[in-house]
Amino acid sequence: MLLQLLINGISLGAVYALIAVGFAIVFSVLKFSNFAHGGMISACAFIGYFFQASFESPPPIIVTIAVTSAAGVLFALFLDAIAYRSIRRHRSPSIYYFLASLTISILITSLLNIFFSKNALAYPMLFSSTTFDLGSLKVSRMDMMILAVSVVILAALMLLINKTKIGLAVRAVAINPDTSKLMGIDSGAIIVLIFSIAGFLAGVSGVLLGCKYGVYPDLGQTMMVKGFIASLIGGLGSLGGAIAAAFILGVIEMFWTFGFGALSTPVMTFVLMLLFLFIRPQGIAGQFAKEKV
Amino acid sequence: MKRVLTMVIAMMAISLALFAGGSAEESDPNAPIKIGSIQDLSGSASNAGQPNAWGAEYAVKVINENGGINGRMLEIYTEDCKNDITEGLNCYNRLVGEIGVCAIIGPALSNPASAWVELSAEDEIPIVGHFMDEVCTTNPDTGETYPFMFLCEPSCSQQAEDLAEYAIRELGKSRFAVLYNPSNAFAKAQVDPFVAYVQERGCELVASETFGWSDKDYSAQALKIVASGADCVFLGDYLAQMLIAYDALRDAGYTGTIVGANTMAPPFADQVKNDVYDVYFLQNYDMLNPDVGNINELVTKHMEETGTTSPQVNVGFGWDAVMVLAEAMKKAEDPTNGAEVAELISQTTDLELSGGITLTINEQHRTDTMGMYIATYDENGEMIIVGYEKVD
Amino acid sequence: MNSYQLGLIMNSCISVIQVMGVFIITSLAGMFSLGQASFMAISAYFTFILARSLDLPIILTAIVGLGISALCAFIIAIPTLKLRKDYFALITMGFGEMISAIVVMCEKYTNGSIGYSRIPKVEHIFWLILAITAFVVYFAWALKRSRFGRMCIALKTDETAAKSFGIDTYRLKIKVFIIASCISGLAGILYGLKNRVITPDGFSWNLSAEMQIFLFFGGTNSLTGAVLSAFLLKLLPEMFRSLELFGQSLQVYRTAFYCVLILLVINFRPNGILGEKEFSITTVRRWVSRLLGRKKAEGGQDD
Repeated sequence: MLLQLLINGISLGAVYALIAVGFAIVFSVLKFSNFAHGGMISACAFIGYFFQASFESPPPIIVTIAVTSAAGVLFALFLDAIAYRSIRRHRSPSIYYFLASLTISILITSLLNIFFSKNALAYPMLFSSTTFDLGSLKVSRMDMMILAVSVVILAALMLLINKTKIGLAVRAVAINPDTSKLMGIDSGAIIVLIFSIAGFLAGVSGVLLGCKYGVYPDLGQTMMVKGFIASLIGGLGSLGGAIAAAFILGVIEMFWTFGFGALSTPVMTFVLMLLFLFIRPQGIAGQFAKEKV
Repeated sequence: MKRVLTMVIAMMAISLALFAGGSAEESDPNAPIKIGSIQDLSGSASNAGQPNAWGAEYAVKVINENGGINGRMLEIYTEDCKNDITEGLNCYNRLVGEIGVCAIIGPALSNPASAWVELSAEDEIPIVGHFMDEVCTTNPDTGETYPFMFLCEPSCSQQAEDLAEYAIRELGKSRFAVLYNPSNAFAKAQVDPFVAYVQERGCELVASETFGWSDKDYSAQALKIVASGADCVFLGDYLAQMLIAYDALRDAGYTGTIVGANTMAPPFADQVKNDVYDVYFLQNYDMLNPDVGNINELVTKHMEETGTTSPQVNVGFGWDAVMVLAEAMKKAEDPTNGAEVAELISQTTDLELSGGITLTINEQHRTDTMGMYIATYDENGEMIIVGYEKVD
Repeated sequence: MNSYQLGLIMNSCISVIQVMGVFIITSLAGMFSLGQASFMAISAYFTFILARSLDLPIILTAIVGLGISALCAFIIAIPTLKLRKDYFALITMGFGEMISAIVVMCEKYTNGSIGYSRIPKVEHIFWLILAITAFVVYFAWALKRSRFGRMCIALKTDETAAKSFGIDTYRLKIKVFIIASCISGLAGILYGLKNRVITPDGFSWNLSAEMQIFLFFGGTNSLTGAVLSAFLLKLLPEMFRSLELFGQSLQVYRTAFYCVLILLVINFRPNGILGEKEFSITTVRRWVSRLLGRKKAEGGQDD
């Protein structure tokens, strides 16, 4: 039973990780909590659904993910053009990004509710049976797929950020956009790149969450809180920390729910956040905790 | 600076314009009768509110085509309450204070409706709806019935008891478990009476598991239910959560019976990932059967007109509420007199509704005459009605 | 005025009080809270439950309710205000989630998600709300101009500099947060008195987010802007109820419209509608003289 809970917790952690990284990457560079991410996930779940529903027989899931994440990137660029670009141009403080993203999130959910709530939608089944047996354990195929996709994408992202020239530029802009500009880095382009990566992640999460939980307007919004908590425990803006914290949160939540019920989970996560801030205010990865003044 | 000033003035002007309109009282005896309809059109329960609004509007259209209320036309004003109390009060106040309606069709939600219980008595506005929680019709402190609130479907405890009775008697279940979201009033209002009823009948409640709005993984809860040895699990949430709960239970290896609220209706069977077997759920209408009432005609028409892909039971709710109201108005000397209409609604007896079942309003302004259908899915995932249950 | 118009004005007044709470946190001390709605919930639930179970007048239990809000604010402020601002925003959001869960857990007292209803009716509620709103706005105005307020603004502008002047910024932030939470609590009690039903869903983080949006819409540092935008933006969606296009009611788009309006303001008036400007007799005189087309020497400092 304990092993079963651990496996379920890790699967849940993979879902949280995918969401938390979407926040963390935007936070690491722009220093604001990207609330629009939840709305983007919902929107992408719908985009992916309508894409695969437009075929007679649904295309392989990987095609849907690829197309949706491309759409997610375009969507992110669109949002950048209508909401974020002028914030950059006015050199407004990052709180304006935060407000714009909040507004966008409310806007997306409201529009999805008006236009798409009449029909409950679901992706076609991917597997003929939902679980497979591993010894005495029951493992969900869907969970394993999400875990695999998350691990691949998160690994690729870490490589991109830590090993490539672009990644170096991203890290430089994260530390100081103005100095990076003097070093010849186009920080505007890097910021657009960051939004695109977040859009890409929203696309992937949208399809995977849609497959697992069904497609409805509040899908991303309701998951967002967990992603925030994970990215906070991980140390805001740290990708590795967010991933680690997401898995820890998934496992702890699973065991807590089993032991004490789900009703008190928000109390537990809040206390956990406070404890973490007391013991390790710099987060798991130990960056960005103290504001540079 | 000028821009600021003009902006402020413009905003003031808009707000004044808002206050300027309306409130033209007409006493013309042949003028249309205004009624209101408050539904969730853009909030979290809009998938239920939109068909409900459609059903009410369609009923008004049909009544008007057949000569209206003794020759007077009905005019329906639909307001969006977003399943929120403040918005619901805005809707109510706008309909009553601004538009001047003389009766209101209520939502299928109890939260907004519970804020109108005393207002409706002060303003003498009858409210007919499907807010299934008893607190909307009876004051739990004093036990008094709210004089202007009317429920025209079985209340949530009646529904839950009907299902529990069926599970105990027909399915022979004795070890029950519940898995629900206590933050969802719809689920909460059904789970409590369900649990009370099965315990009263001497059955055991072996597990009571919960989840919250932001939880998406119920596998720990499902494992506990499996371990508790339950042979019947009750689910009472909205469709999205029902799907996850069903799959979590089956994934965890639960093979027993799953019973649920009327939200388990199609497209539930098409959307769960596991095989659908041994599920029984409540239905207000036998809506796929063209031979009883006109419910089948209504849901079909709604699907055609709005592009909805599965039949929506809420269409019948909107229709029924308007019919109950219209019936009382037809008998009234002055159909715009709220007090008289409310009195006549409370005397409603044997009125046939869209589902072919007759409605009689009792002293608590609810109904004892209506039971609930019990439905299941066959091996092709088609919904079939297997029983009709009414606990006295 | 009919009940609809009175109701809308009361909603707007409550919204003004809510925004005064975040004004003190954000505009004076430069922090962002996404949990102010939970303080509304704490005060409202404590006030009404105590009033009914102990049979005390609401005015007494309201003081207890506000005190408990202050206490909760104090407790969560101690660890979080040492950290950077973003932590504070997210911690307060987590706090809000926790409060909603606790309300559902304590269903014996709060009646859970079904909602705590039958809150006693108060006579002259409209005038009461109007008077309290006026008082709270005056309080915020006086606070901004007081020594305390100037210390806060020093803290917001440059925390290191404020420290070097001998301001204990940490304690100052805690005080600000407690004051703001009491004001939010007050809004919660009035919300309960007006609607006479409270549910945990009514105090979700969306409401907290809405307060922050209202504040920035009016202008980050302008009390006048905050009051105006809180009042009018609360009213604005209601106007869409009566709008029609080709016989199709536009009411369901009211949230969408207002989101678009906010995005436009963020794009084209990045300091909010009023920026840093405040209402005063001199500015009014200046406006009037501007309108009359007279040239004024100090015109240059306007935007």
